[in-house]
Amino acid sequence: MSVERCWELGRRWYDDRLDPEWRRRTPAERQAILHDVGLTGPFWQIE
Amino acid sequence: MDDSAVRLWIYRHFVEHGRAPSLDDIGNALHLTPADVTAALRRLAHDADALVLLPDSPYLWMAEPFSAVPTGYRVESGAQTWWGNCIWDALAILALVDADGRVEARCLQSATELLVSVVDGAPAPSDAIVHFLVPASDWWRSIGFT
Repeated sequence: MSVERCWELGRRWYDDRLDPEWRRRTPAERQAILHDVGLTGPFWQIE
Repeated sequence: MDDSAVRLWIYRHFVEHGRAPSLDDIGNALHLTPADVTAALRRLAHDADALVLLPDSPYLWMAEPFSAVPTGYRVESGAQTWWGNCIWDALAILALVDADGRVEARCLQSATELLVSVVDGAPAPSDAIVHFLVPASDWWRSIGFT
């Protein structure tokens, strides 16, 4: 993938890590992030 | 003390110091005994999936996207540096700390040095391609390999 897409993925994936109320995202929530940055298809299926 | 406070303190330490805190650092800052620190880290790693410990040890390996050990992904912003676990994580560090900077890495195939700059909150145009070797369903099978 492009650096730009990787940046957006990283930005979205970890944007809650400094949140005092952090909790591990559900598989569906993680899948939604991948989808939102355009990562779809079997390779990007978390489950 | 709630484990979430330990987790947050560790993350803030990475942000501010660019490295992992020692077990003593954590205990001294949060007034925890060594046994309490070790137990909290174990719960955060194994129950909450909030941290990754070095194999068969009580020591921090990852507080993703930060790495507690030097890697091939060095992140720099001004005088501050961090280590990312991979290019994904290295870029994410700059996003997480909301800072411009750059990532120094190497192509794993050719060993060519790669520099990715982040300017005004976005990566500068780059011809580099980020390659994911492991499919998403296996990312957590062995996170170090991923």
